[in-house]
Amino acid sequence: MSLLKDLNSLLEPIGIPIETGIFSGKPPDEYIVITPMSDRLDFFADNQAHSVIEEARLSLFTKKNYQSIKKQLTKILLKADITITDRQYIGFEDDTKYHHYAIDVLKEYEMEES
Amino acid sequence: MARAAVKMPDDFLERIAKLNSHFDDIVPRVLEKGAEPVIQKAKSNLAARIGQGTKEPSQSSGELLASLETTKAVQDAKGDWNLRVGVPTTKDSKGVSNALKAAVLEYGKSGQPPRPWLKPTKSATRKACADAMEKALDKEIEKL
Repeated sequence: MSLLKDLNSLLEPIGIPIETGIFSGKPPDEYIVITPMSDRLDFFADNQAHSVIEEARLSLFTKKNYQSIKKQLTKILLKADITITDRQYIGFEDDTKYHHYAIDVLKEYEMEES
Repeated sequence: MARAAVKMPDDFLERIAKLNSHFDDIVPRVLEKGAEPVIQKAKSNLAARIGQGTKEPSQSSGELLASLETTKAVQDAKGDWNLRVGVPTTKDSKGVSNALKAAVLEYGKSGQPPRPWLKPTKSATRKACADAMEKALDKEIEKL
């Protein structure tokens, strides 16, 4: 499994359009962009890495009140054992009228056998 | 009830006492050593993100990258020592805040994807920073 796969399958039922990297096409009033941030090897033993730590940022853009969706996202992520390393209101974009909210997440995976 | 008394060696106790009295001289130097791997990684991450995937050719002047700095270690009101690695609120030659440019790169905006450089720096250098400070502190203690 990977964090991107997990995030997409976890957040799909919410019904908000989600894309990775950049939102292609005309953005709706509410959408999420997932940006992978880091992908580190960790937990070394016998000169072998035994786990992978993946981090990503969820950027929520909404023209509505962001509070309820923020709470919903947080609940879903925590329930799936995903660590939230940061939550931050970035600001209101005057030109586009979007509220921008960022949630940084992290999950550790066991290293897959090659 | 049985009782045990452990006596610490005198020279060790003297060094602990000296460390206590020299603490405020030592800490800034230790923090500066810890900041070295962080600023190196921050610079390389930021340089890699500036102008990445832009629709038009990048017109980067290099001022944002040059503004990346390590501040002097200062003591706050609680007595804790702090040192900041980051972009200050200074403005570039066009009057745009360097911190604003750094934040837009880090978090993006609607229609502009985020290009995180600071958070990956923090994650990647946590151990290197702690190791560098540990080494620096050991050296300072040896000097006492």
